[in-house]
Amino acid sequence: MSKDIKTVTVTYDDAITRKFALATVVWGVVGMLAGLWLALELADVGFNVSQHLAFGRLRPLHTNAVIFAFVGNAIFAGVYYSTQRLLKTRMASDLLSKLHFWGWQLIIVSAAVTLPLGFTTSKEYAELEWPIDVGIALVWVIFGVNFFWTLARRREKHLYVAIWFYIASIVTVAMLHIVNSLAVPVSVLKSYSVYAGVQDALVQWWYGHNAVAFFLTTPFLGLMYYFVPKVAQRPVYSYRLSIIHFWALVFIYIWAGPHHLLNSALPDWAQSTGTVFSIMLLAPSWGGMINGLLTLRGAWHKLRTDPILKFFVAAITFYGMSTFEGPMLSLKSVNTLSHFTNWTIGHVHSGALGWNGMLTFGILYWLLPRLWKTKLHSVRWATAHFWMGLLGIAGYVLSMWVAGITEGLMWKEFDAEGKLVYSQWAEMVPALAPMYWVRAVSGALYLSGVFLMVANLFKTWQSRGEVADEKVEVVLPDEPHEVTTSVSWHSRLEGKPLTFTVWTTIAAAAGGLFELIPSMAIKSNVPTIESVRPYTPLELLGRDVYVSEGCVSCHSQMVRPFREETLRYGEYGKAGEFVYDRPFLWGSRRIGPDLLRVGGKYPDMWHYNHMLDPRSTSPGSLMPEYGHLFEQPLDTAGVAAKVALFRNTFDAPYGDYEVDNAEILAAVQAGEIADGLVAQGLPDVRDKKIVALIAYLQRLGRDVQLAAPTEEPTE
Amino acid sequence: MKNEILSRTDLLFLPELSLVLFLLIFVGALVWIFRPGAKAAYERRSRLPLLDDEIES
Repeated sequence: MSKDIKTVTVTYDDAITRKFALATVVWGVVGMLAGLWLALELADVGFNVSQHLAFGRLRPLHTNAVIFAFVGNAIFAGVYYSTQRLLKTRMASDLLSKLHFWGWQLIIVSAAVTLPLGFTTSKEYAELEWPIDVGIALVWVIFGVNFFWTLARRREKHLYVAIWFYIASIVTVAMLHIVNSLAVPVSVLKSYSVYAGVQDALVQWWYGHNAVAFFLTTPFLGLMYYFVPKVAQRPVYSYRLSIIHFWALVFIYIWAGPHHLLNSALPDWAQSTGTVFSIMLLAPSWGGMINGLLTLRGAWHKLRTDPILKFFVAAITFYGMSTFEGPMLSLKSVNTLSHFTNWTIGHVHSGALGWNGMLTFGILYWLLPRLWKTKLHSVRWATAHFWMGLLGIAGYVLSMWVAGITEGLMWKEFDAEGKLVYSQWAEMVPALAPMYWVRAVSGALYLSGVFLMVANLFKTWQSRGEVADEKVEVVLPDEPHEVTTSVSWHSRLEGKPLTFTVWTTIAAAAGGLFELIPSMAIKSNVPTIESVRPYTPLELLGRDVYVSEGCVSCHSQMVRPFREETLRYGEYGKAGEFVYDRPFLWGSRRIGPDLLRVGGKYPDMWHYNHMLDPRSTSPGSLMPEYGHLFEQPLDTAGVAAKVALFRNTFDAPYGDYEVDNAEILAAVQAGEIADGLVAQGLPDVRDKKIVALIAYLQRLGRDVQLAAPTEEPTE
Repeated sequence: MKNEILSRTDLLFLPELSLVLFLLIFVGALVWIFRPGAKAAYERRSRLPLLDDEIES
C-alpha cells in the first residue's frame, strides 16, 4: 500500500435531500390531518361533511399519504443523504434524482385527487388505479437506476449495512408493486385485478404485509444503521449481528403475509405458514432492535439533553414493541379476538407513529439544520415535540387496545341460553365512543407536536447560512474498492453489489414463490361451488359503486367459522364463492357488520332508507349518508365491455346473450328493483347509482344459500 | 397444460423444506458470524458512518 494519501474532492448533492426532507414535512402534515379527520368521523358521524371526505374515501387517502408521501419522502431524503456519504460519491445522475423527486410528488398529488373522487382498486395500500401504478413503477425504476449506478461509481469498496437494507427495499418493493398491481384496464381510471377471490387475497396481503416490511421497515432500518451511530458518535454495536439481522429479516418477512387472513377461506397450509414465519420474525426484529439500542452504549447520558436521541430511542423501542405485538397477533387464538377490531389499528399506529414517525422526526431535526448550515432554532421546542408525540401515541394505542378488546369480546358474548348478547350491531357501537374520542384527542396531541416541529424548522430555516452542496475531501484507496484485509465470503459479498443484489432478491422472493405458486397452481385450494355464478351486469356495476365508495374500509365480506359469526351473519365464507370477485373484498376491519350474507336479509326499501339515512334504520350507526348515490346517474354504457372482459379474459361463464345485451339486462334488473320501490311510495331511482348498489348487496351470499350443503373439489 | 402438471404435483412440502433449509442456514450463519476472531474483521466497517466525512474541506 502506498504511503502517499490520495484524496479527491466530492460534492454531495444535498439539494435533493433538502427537497425530499421538506416534502416529508408537508405531506406528513397533510396525511396526519386526514388521519385526525377520520378519527373525528368515527367519534362523531357529523364530520362526514361530503362524499369526497367520507370515511370510505378519506381512509385510503390517509394511509397512502402517510405511507408513501410522509414515510416515502423521509426514506428518500435519508437514502440520498447517507448513500452518497457511505459510498463517498455524488449520486450518479442529478437529472434522475430530480425526475425521481418530481415524479414522486406527481404521484402523490394524483393520489390526493383520484382517491377522494372514488377512483380506487380498494386493495389496501395499493388503491391507486392503473395509470398511477404505471407511474409508480417508472419512478421507482428511475430511483433504482440512479441508486445502482451510484453503487457502481462508489469510492468505498464495502457496502455498509444501511446500503444492504436500501438494496433489499428497492428490489422487493418493485417486485411487490408490479405483481400485486397487475390488472386489466377497462377505462382510463378503472381496472380489474388479474387475480380473483382467494388468490387475490393472498397476493394482496403478500403485498400489504411486505409493504410494511420493505417500505416501512427495511429502509428505516437502513436509516437507523446510519443515523443512530452518526448522532451518537458511536459505531454500530455489532456488525456481526447486523449481518444476521439483515439476511434473516429479508428472508422471513416475505412469508408472513397470510397472517392477515387467518381463519378465512385461505387454505389452511398458507395460514399456518404465515403464522410460523411471523413467530420466527420475532428473532431478527429484536436482533435489530437490540443492535440499534446498544449502539447508544456509552452515550445514554446524552439522552437527558439531546431530543434527537430521545426520538431515536423511542422509535427503536416502538419498533421492538410492534414487532413483538405483530407475531402475537399472528397466533390464531389471539387473532380470533383481535382481527377486524381496533386492536389492529392500534398495532399499526404504534409502528407508524412510533417507529416511522419518531425516527423521521429525529432525522429531520438532525439533517435540516446541517443542510441549512445553521443550528436548530430551539432544542426545547424539539423536546416538547418529543413528549407530545410520546403522549399522543400512548393515548392512541391504549385507546385502540381497549376498543379492540372490548368489541372483540362483545362480538363473542353469549348469554346463559346460548344466544348472542349483542345480536344487533348498533347495540355495540356506543361502547366504543369514549375510546374514539380519546384516540382523536391523542392524535390531535401528536399532530400538535408536528406543528411545533414545523414552526421550529421554519425558524431554523430563517437563520440559515449559505446553503450549498457539501464538499469533502475523501481518501482514495490505492486500488479502487480495495481497502479490506478480510477475505471472508461475506466481506467479498459486501464488495460486489450485483452479487449482493441477486442473493437479496432470491432471499426476498423465495417466500412469495413458495406461497403464491401452489395457491394458484393447485386447484384443490379453491374448490368449485356449482351454484356460484358471476354477477349480473347491474350487480357488476353495483360492485363498482361499492368499491368506489370504499365500503370495504368498514365492512368485511368474510364470515369466519366461529359460532358467534355464523349465528350473527350466516354460513361461513368458502373459497369457491369468491371466484368472480375482482378484487376480493374480504376487508380488514369491521366498523360496521360483515356483509357476506346480507343478500336477501332486508328488503330493497331497507337498503334504500339505510343508504339515504343510516340512522333511520340503524340508530347510532357511524355510517355516512350516501345521498349522492340517489342523484348521480348510473352509467351503463360501459357495462358490456366489462362483462366481455370478465368472460374473454377471466373465463367467467357469461353467454353471448349476456355480453351482447348487458346494457339492456342491467336496465331491466334496475327497472324491477325501482318498480318495487316505487310501489312502496319511494321515488323512481332506476337510472341512479343506488339501484345498482342495492342489486349488488342483495346478491351477496345468495349463491351459497342456494348451494348444496357440501362443496366438492374438482379433483 | 402447465396448471395440469402442477396440479398433479404435490408442492405442499416446499414450505416445510424451506423452513428446514432456512433453519440450517440460520444456525450455520450464526456460528460463522460469531466465530472467534471475527470481530476485528468488522471493526472498520462498523465505523463507516463515522468515516464518511473524513477530511472536511
